Amino acid sequence: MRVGIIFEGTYPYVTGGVSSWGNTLMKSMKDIEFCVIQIGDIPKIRTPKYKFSDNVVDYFEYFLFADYDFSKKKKITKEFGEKLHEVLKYPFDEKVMANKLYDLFHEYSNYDFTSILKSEMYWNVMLEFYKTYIPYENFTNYFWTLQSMLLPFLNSMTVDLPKCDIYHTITTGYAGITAIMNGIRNNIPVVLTEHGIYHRERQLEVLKSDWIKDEYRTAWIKLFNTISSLVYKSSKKITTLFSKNQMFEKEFCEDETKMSVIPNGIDYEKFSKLEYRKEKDPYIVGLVGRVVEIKDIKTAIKAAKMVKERIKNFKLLIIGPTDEEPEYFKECQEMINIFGLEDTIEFTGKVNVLEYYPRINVLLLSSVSEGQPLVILEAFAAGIPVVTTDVGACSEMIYGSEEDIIGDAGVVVKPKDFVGLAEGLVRLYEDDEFRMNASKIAKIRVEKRYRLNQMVKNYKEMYYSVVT
Amino acid sequence: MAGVGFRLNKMFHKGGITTDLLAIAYSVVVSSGPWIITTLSLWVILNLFKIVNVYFNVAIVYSFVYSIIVSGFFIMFESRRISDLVYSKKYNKILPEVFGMIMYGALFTILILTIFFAFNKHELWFILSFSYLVLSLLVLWLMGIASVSTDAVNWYILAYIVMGFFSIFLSNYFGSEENPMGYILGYAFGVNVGTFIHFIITLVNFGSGLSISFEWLNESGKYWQNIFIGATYYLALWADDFVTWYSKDFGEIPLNGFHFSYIYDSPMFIAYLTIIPTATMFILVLETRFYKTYKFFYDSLVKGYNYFEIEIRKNNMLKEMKFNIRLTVEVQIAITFVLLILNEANLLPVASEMFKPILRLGLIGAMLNSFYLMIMLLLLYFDFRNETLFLNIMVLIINFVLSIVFINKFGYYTLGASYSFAFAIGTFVGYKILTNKVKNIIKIEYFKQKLSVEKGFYMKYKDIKNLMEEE
Repeated sequence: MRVGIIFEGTYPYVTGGVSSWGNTLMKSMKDIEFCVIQIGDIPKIRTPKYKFSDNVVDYFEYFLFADYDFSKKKKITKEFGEKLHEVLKYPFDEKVMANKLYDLFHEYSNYDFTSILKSEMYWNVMLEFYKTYIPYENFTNYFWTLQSMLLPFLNSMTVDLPKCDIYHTITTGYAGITAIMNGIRNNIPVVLTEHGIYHRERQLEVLKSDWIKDEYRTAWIKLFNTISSLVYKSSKKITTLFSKNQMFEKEFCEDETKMSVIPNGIDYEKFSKLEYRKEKDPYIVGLVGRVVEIKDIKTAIKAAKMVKERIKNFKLLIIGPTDEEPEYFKECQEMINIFGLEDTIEFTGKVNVLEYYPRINVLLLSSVSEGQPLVILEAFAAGIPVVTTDVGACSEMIYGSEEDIIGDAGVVVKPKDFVGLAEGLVRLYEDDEFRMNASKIAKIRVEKRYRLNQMVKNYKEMYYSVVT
Repeated sequence: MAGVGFRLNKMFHKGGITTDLLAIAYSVVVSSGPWIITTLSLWVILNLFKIVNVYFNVAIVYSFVYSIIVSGFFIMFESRRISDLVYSKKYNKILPEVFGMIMYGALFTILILTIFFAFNKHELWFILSFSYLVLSLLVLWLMGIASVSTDAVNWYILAYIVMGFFSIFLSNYFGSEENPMGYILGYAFGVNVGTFIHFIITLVNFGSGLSISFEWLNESGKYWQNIFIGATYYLALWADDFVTWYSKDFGEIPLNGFHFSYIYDSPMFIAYLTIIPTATMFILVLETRFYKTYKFFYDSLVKGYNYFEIEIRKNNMLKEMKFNIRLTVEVQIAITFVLLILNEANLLPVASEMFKPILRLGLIGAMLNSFYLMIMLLLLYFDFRNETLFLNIMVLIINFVLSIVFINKFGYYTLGASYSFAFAIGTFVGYKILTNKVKNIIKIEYFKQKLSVEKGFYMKYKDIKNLMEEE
């Protein structure tokens, strides 16, 4: 069996969450062949950060914001245009539009969809929208904004991926749309695994970004929602890492029977062999992750400042590469200098984490966005309690879920809450019983729920269940 | 014609009958200057000085035909290229590139002449002097385009006046009935004087490194239509003449290889001159009233107006364009109508019963030709190059085919009819295309632009493996 696994802007170029998960998954399924499909933003050659395992037999990469020659494909027809126009109607209900698009794309799947941008129908619809909703707006700006919004989707719909037995897309969005269009064209089943919820992440991005004008925010959000809804409808199976994610998926997915949770898994044996550091003098806290904005290292530094004021022999190790966002790394260093924490905080750079887990008492995670962080699972397996922000599956991992009520494996606070993080770290330092108890619970939890072989088995079963 | 519109507007704003008339006269000279002056100089040579030497007459007519058709391959492209260079303020590149085009044009001309004289034997003196005249005229047309692109329009007109004067003077000075080579070379030297003035105008205004550049060849792929638009238009214009010259009944061969048709050429020559009013009117309205609305429209696209404002400006431009076309058409119809009456009443200078039916059709044909020329220039104003080329090829084919059919089937009374039919159809189709295009110009202009994204490529297994190994 050959699985086309589709990444958007991650594997094999960026280390961390999704890439690490994908790499582990492929490496662990020796009897399945993989074709890695990567979607880049603009045409450029980048340096891969991973090496493929032997069962990765094919690779394909295309770019979203690029001018491709699809002249061998048929241009979209007037009839298609009219039908599409019928779909895009007020009140632009995402689920309704997705259902209609699903039928439409089954009828028209193998076209040069980018040709729509030069069609009479596109001009008329675009103008109709303009006149109805934003007649006062700079028309040139509107025209190009719309084109740049649509081009990545149209490229994704048109591009032909290598033929596989299954397409496994790791997000909805561009990866999802290319998976389902190729699935429809070649009658290949599509499965979806969401780490984060794509349309929700985009929604937050759109609302926060300065470069998107207010007039276009709703359109952007509706577009991503519709695409998610369409990908949910077209996927045979939808999995996610933790149950909280399903709440957001259900917003746009009508068929809950195809939804399931497959948590991340780690090599329990490898990490459980490591000995937990019971000695708390000095009290060493580790933050395992890349020094990038999304990990919110600055909040961790602020928390460290507060902890240092109460625990004199406190140390924070920031364990991970520092070269990804050099400007951010520099700002963190300046902050450390201002706080006078030069002797308290140490950046290790890229190291073997196996050597560092036995040296720390507690793992700290200050991220503003996560899926189901593997570092928590690794730390758990080594019996290390965790103080974390409440992002992604962190809360479920620390406190357990409905079927897992054995207790707390650490402390969870709101994102950006450096006071809460500091108090959590102090509590684990002062309350030995709580710390040791959390250490035990962490180990049990990961052994019961988050083992790699279980994760691999679940995905394999999912693959075989959709291939007839 | 940079600067022409500005000067005309300035003259009209001064008000008063004298300045208005001056502005009109100015338009006449700018639009039809070369045509009038060369015609006048020829008329003076042939009629005032009574030079009827067959070599000289053949050389003059054929050198004009040859050089204009060959220049047709260059002038549209040259105009476009010079506009781009002026726009990007790369003035000193203009002359070297024009030299490059002249060199290509000259080589092409020499090739054609070599083939022509290989099949048609003539004395060496005639071959050399005729070839020199053709090349001189070719250089004049190409240099004139560079010179008219400067702001020095007065000097541009003066260059043609000086050229006319020197051509008359030098052909008389060097030539005699026994020495026709003197006539031909004298005329060519006069042309050289005019060309030299155009060169100085360009040099003074644009500057130059005085080298030859072929950089324009890199752009020829982008504007390939321009290369053929000029040539196909001239061929369409001359197609009926060629067919008549080579017909058994109406053609003559005064010199080996040189065909003429006395019965056809003389009235058609007069008819062609009647195109001047349209050219004048057109320059007048295009560069003043129409240009304003055109600029307002394109400004609204560039400056980011809302759609309704853009649409209002487009409608104003369309209205102005139609009004200008109607005005030009009405003036031309009135003039042609008067000339037709004069022709019927035998009141024209070349009137004769033999020429009358041909001149009748020729006048109508020239009127339609002028309308067609106006439509063609408007299409080019909006950069509809493919459509213009299509129209030219269509008119060329119609004129050529109908000329053969009419001459062989109906004979004398239909001489000139193919010319009229071809340009009538061309004008009708062209007008339809133009108005339709301008109606949809907003959409066309937006669709013409490309989103500024790079060319896409795909990375495959081998590529990524190589990168992984490098790492």
